[in-house]
Order: sequence, then C-alpha cells, then structure tokens
Amino acid sequence: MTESNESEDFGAEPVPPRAMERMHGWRRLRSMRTAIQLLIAVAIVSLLGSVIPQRSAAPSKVAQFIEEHRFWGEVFDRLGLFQVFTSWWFLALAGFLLFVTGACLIPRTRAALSHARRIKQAPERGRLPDLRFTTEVESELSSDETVTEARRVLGRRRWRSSPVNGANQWIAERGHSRETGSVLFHWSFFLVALAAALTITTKFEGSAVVVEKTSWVEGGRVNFDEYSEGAFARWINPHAGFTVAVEDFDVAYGDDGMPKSYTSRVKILDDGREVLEDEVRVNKPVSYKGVKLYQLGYGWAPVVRVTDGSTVVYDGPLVLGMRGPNGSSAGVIKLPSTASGSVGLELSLFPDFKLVPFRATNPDDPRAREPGALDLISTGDFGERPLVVVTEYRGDLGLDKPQNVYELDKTGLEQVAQKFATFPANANEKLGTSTQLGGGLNVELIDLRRFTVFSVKRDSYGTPVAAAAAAVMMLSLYPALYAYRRRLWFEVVEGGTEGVVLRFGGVAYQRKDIFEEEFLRIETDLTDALRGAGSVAKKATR
Amino acid sequence: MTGETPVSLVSTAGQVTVVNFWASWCGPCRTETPMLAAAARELSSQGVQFIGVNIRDDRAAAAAFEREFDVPFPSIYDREAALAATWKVTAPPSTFVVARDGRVVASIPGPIEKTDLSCMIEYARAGGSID
Repeated sequence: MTESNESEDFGAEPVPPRAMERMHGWRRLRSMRTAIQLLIAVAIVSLLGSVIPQRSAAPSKVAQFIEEHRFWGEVFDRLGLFQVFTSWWFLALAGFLLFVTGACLIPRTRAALSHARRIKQAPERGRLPDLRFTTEVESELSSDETVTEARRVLGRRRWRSSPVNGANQWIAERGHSRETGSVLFHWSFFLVALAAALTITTKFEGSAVVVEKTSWVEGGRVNFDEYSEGAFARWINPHAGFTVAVEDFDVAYGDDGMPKSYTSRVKILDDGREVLEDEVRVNKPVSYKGVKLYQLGYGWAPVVRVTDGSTVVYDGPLVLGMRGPNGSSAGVIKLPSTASGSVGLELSLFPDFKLVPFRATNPDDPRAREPGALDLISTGDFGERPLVVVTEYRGDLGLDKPQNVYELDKTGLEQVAQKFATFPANANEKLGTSTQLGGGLNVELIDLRRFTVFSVKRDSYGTPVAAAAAAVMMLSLYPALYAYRRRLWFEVVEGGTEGVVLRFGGVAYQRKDIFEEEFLRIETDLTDALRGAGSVAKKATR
Repeated sequence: MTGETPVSLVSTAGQVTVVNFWASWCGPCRTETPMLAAAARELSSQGVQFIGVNIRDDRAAAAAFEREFDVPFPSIYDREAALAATWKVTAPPSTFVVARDGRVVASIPGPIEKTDLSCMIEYARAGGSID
C-alpha cells in the first residue's frame, strides 16, 4: 500500500480541534498505517503457518513436533499455532484488516469523487496558491482566440481546463488518474483480501478411496477418509452431492518398470443421471459443479468372500495398505463373532510374487540358521502373478478399545495359521482361489481390483473474484504511481507589442523536480501556437 | 437389511422414530448397539420405532454385526453414505430422533447413552417442545 505524503488537501477536510480529539481513535483506526501494521501481522502469521507444521496438511508432523518439543509443543498447541489459518484469532485479525481497509477507503473514495466534481466548479478568486512557475506569452490572436488556442494546446497534452468564475481566468489540471488509480488499487486490494477470506473460510479438501467398479458420493464429511474445511463451510454446505462411479483404474509403466502415469476412468452422476464421463489423471483433474477431483494415489483392493460354515461374513473389496516395495500390501478383516470365536485375518498381497533365498536383516532371526529358508517378495506391481497370504489370528481383537480399522491389535491375539491363495485368472493345481482355515472358516479370492485415491476440493467461490481483482490491482498501479498531479492557471490581459498577453503559472503536487522541464515545454508550445506567423507556426509545432 | 436404495423415511410418519447410523467396523457402535437393541425391544409396544442406517460397510460384515448383537430393528444399507450425508452425519455412530410429524427433534453425534436416548424420546413424544 502506498501513502502519499504529498497528497495536498483532498481527502482531509479541515476538522475543528474538539471534533478532532473525538475522532482521533476512529481516524487512527482507519489510517493507512493501521492497515499496514495489520497486513504485516497477517503476513507474519502466514509465515509462521508455513514454518510450523500444520494439522490440516501434516498431522503426523504436528504430533512429532509436540513429542519432540514437549513444553513448546504444548504452548504452540494452546496458541493454535498448528492450525493458524483456522484459528479464531487469525480470522479476527484478517477480518479486522478487511474492516480497517474498508474504513480507510470510504473517506478516500468520497474525497476523490467530490474532487472530481469540484474541478468542474470554479475555484474562488484569491485562493490561488503561490505559484512556483509563472510566465507570460504574447499573442498575435484576439483575446477569445488566445484562450481557445491555449485550451487546445493544453488539451492535446491532456490538461483539462475550465473557466474560473467571472473574468478571463482559467484553471487547467492533469493527473487525476493518480487518485483514481490509487483508490481503485486499494479497492481491488480490499476485494482480493475479501475473496481470499471467502476462499479460506468456505473451501473444503478431502481424500476419498474408491475401489474399481464401485462408486462414491461427494456428500459431506462422512464420505471422506481425510477431511478439512474452512470455518464457515458448514454454514454454506460447499458439497455438490454428485456420485462418482469408478469404471476402472489403469497404471501405465515405463521401460524401467516404474509407473509412468495412472488413470481413473470415471462417470459422474447427478441425481441419478449420468452427466459426465472422463479420465482423472495426475495434473488433470475432473471438475463438476465447482468441485475438483485430483488423482492422488492408488493401491490394491482384492474382492474377498469369507464364509463361516454356510454363513457369509464378509463379501466385498478389501482395501489394502502399502507394506513394502512393488505393491506388497496388506489389509485386515475382523470377525469378532464366528461360530468358533473371535478371529482376525490378515491378507498380504504380493502382486507379482517370487520366492527368493532368505536373507536375514537381523542375525538373531532363527530362520537365518535354517538351511534353504525362503522369503516371499514381489517383483512388480503389475498384478500378473498375484499371491495372497492369509494369516489367521485368534484371541481378543480388542474391539472395546479405539483402534485402527486397517490393522489388527495383536496384543491379545495369537497367530494360528498361514495359508496361500490366488485369484481365478491365476489359479492352478498348486495355488487355488480359496483356502480353508480353522473352525470351518473359508477365505475365497474373487477378483483382484485396484482402488484409486482422489483428492477432492472446492477451490472456492472466491477464486474468480480474486483473479479479477488482482488484475485490476495491477492495472491501476500504473496511474497510481506514474500519473502526477499538476495545476495551471492562466488569464488573458492587455499589453505587449501585439496588445494581448497570456499570463500563466503552474504548481506540481508530485515529482516537483521534473515540473520545471514540463512547464518550459508548455511555454514553448504556447509560444509557438500564439505567435509564429499564423498557421505556419501552428503546423510547425505538431 | 432392507435394501440398497436409501429409502426415504416417510414411512416413519405418525410414529416417534429413532434413526441410528452405524458401521460394523466402528468401535463405539459395538458399545452402544446392545443398549439400542434392548431399547428397541422395550419400546416397540409403546409406538417407538427404530431404524438403522449402515454406512460405508461390507454388506455381509454388517449382517454379521446384526446377528452378533441380535439387533431387532431393520437397517438401510447405505454403502456410499449418501443418505448419511443428507442427514449431515459426520461419522458413525450418530443418532437422531424424529417426532410423529416427521421433524428431527433431537440428535447426538457419537456414542449415545441410555439416559440421553430416553430424554430424546420423551422430548419427541412431547412433540418436540418443552411446555
């Protein structure tokens, strides 16, 4: 923000001393200085927010920070420094900044408007300031023609002139765009800040895990695995309520076997009607009703059917978490009430399995002394040679305590068996699609599917407003900085050799140092226009 | 469980209805379900209806959960939590009480205690107002 200390009279009407005292607090509040101080405060807080880990972005880092800096971690947490952008005091600070900017803009706008009106009225005689530069030019023309010619010459240099009441006195001004530009600049700054506040307070961002051939609803917090939203989001409901059906998910691999790109083919349904069919890829989100789906990640989700005797107890895709290189992943099924008691199943998938000689990472591992011990690894993430290891645990699942849905709490559990199975496309005599466990439990692999992870966000209602306002802000900066306000007064008096003399003087309000040169140029132009023998001289000046 | 399509709860009109959103993988649901099942049995003769909404779950796992706790009331299978989202549920469990005129008069996000449930039902019976 700029504060012009040369800004002469307008914007500051004279105020009687007592009223001045009364208004002191208010004036101070709406002063540019207060706004700048608040802006600096907001900037410092934003800086803190980018240095200190934020809960919304990295909850684990916050936990780690608190762990490592016991006392300060606690203090920071109390101060809300792990969620600065949503803390009440940051919102209060930002809101106050908006209020102060608005309060400071209103009188300035009013002053600029009234000034624009005033220039059309004649200034009072005798209120002319001391002119630093004055000069006289003799004219060959009549009085009226001299005035017309002078106004034309000045008009060409973008001076706006108007008559002073009575007599043959005129006033010319230029550089109004400075204050217009400045007011516009500050209003657009205000708008940018307002739009940013709107964005921060109404946006939401979350992640959603969707298995191939299933669908997901963008309905609200309940639909997301991770979720955060702005402070006012719940009052306006930023969700669009559409359904995303994931048709399939593809990974393209490069020559080095590393994934080159991955694609989710999706259909978007709104109110049961299909409205969109598209592909979500990295850096190519799909947008519907202002909500964007970004491709974030993927993994395996085998379709599993678990039967307890003749009763089906699990029948659907099981989302696996990454456990090792090349797509090695695992997931759990908790069965608290089978006919044979409480069972925990851990399913580990090796998408392209291979048996390799066991290499101990820990010399105390008993298998290190076992000759011919083998280890199971995955050589790729293609899913061409998938193997699932089903590990059966029995005992207390500990479901009365809060626990991770994707892991078994093994404290009360004992491993009782480990079995192998594969999927229909890869089944053979050695490796079937189902495996029998204890107590009449059977695990059958139905299909190997992938899941895709979307990052879902509404960029916000404020974004287009902010972009437009930022453009206006940049454009208005030019006149605000490089238009200089100047005034000229001129009158036509009798005298000189030709009988008519144009007397004029000028004053500069900014960049006074370059005004002398400008003034001399005007004098030259006017001399050429009013003297040189008639039309020949006039042409020469063009 | 009744059906895959989220049925509207219009059929509850004329009766005080307790709507409980749950999932088989949800720990607090395991804690509160025995109480809800007992309350449903006790209150069925008194014109209070219970309806469950199972969200983001495997259907077979949800059925196993119902068998485990011998849940007497029916549940709607809302795999995508579409119905839950329209009820502004943020996570299971979440319990709502609907008055005879179909208005939701009380709700508790998170696990519910017996005393809270009794209070909410009394309130709904009074037509959702304290006179």
